[in-house]
Amino acid sequence: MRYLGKQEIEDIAVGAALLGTGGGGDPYIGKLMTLQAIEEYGPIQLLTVDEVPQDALVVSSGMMGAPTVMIEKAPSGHEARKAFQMLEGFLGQKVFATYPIEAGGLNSMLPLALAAQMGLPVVDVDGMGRAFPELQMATFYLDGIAATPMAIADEKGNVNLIDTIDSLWAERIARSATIQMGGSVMFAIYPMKGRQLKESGIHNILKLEEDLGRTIRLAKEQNTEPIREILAITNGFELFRGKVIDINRKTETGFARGTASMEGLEEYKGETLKLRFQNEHLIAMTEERLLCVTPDLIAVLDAETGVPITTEGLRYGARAVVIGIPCHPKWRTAKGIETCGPGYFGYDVEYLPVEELAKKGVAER
Amino acid sequence: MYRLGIDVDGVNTYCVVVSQNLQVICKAQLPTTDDVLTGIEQIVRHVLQHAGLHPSQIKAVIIGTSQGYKALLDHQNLAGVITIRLGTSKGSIPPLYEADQSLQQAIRLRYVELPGGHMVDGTPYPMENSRSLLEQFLRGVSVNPDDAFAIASTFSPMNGDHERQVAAWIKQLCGTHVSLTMSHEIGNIGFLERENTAVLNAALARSMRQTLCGLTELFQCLGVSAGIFLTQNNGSVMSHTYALRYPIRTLCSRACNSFRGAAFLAGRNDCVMVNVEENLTHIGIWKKGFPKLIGVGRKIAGIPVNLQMPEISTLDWGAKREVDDDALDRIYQAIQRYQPRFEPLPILFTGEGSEKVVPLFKYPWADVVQTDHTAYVSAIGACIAPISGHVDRMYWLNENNGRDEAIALAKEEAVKEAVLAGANPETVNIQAIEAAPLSYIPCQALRIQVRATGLIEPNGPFR
Repeated sequence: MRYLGKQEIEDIAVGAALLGTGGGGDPYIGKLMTLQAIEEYGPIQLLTVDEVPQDALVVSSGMMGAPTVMIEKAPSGHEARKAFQMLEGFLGQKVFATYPIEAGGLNSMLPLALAAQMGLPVVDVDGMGRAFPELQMATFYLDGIAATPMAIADEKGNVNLIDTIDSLWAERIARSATIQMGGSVMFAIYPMKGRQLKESGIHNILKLEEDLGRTIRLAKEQNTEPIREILAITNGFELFRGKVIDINRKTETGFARGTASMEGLEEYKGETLKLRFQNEHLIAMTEERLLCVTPDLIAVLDAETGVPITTEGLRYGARAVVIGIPCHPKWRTAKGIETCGPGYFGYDVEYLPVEELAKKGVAER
Repeated sequence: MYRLGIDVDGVNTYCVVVSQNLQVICKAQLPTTDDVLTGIEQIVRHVLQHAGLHPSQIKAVIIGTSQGYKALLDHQNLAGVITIRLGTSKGSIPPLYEADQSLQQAIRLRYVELPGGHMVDGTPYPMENSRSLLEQFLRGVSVNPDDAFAIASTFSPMNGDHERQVAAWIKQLCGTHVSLTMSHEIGNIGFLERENTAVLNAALARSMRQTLCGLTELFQCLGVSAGIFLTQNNGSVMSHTYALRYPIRTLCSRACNSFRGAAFLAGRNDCVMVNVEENLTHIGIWKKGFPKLIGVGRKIAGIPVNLQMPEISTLDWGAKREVDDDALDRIYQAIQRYQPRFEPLPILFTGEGSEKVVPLFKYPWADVVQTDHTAYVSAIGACIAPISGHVDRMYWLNENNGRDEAIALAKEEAVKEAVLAGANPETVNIQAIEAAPLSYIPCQALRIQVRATGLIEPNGPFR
């Protein structure tokens, strides 16, 4: 067990944005909420999965809907508390601890803010090891743990308790309700036992985020390049270095779909990278070959500072390094690929692990 | 018919006289005085005499100054600010959360949360007893005559009605003369940043009013009855009544003025600009007569704001130091950031340090040009800038109001803004349109940005 203070929160926010692979919303407001909560209630207790009693009730917290809406509503934390109370009432058990459903953007920060406000510990675990756009895209779903009963609450005071036959339905119903409730809600989701969380979750994700954030911060302070160390921490691969030359955004059915093109620099001169994204970066490829495919992680980092760039923050002319990070092995199973591989997002590409693609690339060069 | 362009920086005050056919007929510089106005008076007398002009021949005075920025950094002469927040959440992150304590003290920030605001689709939340809560709050805090109000309401870029309602109440309760900033007139989605911007704008109200009153009096004394305009962050100018409402829009206008002046002198509408000053070098892009603007991720005096400002890279290298390979490489790299992929734009050097750099700077892919009048580019740029109206807000689409209708509406609003800012209606046209939807939820919200520009109407309503 250890405590998270302000510096840790700053670092986690940066690291989470990196693992957020371009999506998940800007963690800024979540970070402010957490910092404010720490000021008011003191540091946050962080537990490892081993420190959670086997039968204790753990519930994930966060937001769903449009981050753009959430940054406009300036939430206060009351919503999430209400969602938790509703779920506790239904389950007839007190929540022992909360945890983030994903790494990246807002949802890495919100459980921390809530934990500080409610005096709950946070467990160092998540259900994605990255960011994904839908509720069933969690390792818990792969392991047969239901997303429901779940509760969603809005800032007006409305709370919905949702119980569904499976997590796909949870996603459908909760998303429709979210739109009616004003475009963004806070949720309490994936209630489970400590034992299940340990078996199914991705461990030490906050520690990884913090390590990444600290590396980027120290590199800036010491004026060094952080990319090499980021790759070492994540077992990642440098895929490309270049300059953004084109961004083509379309929004279909609520996804900021699009393609960004980058022109190679240095050893990549003469090559053009295409990044396909739907909120998150999903495919990185050049004209000749595939470089990285979802569920493996694709992160775009500022070439100088290593600071992660979100898909919304991609600007013409920005110089960036694109890195690929192997996803958690659970995502590489048949069900994992089916749930969030390229096919699910509508791309006619076969999934191949980034290590293999990288090796192939080296062999061809 | 002549125009006066005046550029005030921390050290010098520059003045140019430009004729109707855009010839610089006279220029002068004097040290900036502590009160700024005395320096302006001296220099205007000087150029009028030198150019042999009668004051009545001046048809517009355009001023570019970074005084507001200085006021914010030094916490000097700021108005006290009362912030009214309209929304449904209580006890959220307070305004100026990340600002240092001394700024909050300098503006004696007082704030209240009232029920109100709108949903993403523009549906109002009930305002319930907001008015009585407001009265109660105003009784509880001491309101000085010099205090300014900042009003921010949830989703006001979608629907500004509640901000306008509260503004009307405040005028009833505190008098019609009070200075009011409504956040929807200044920034876009992103509540806290937009609210911060409104608070800073309100804080600047007093010094802007003093400056403009002083200028109006000064020019009356000088016999110049022309309209007074100020340059704004997006590279255009606004009438002085408009500047009274939006002082924050003047903060970084001087950089744009330099770019505009340099582009004009070099006869280029599209180029990458390099402004080499003594201690710093600024690099940016100039396209179709305007700088590239970004509104997200910007900070003023360390405070996150939601305000359109030019995208400019600043190197901590200036002509005071030696022009070595490292400096040349940094300038080159910064230029490359703005260069399009094909057909690189010409590089335009300006600023007093450019003479040192240009002979050593190699750029085989495009023209490298240098301007003369280097000290005066900013004053010249101010003189020739157009007036613009900028709309950047959210529109909710439905069966009756499709994308095309929303864009048409935004265009109309932009034209109206330009006319309000002092443009001659007959000269206004639409320059740029951008429309982007929201992500993560399938919904009908569209963010539309439109820029309309026109020319100064010397006999317009601002006089």
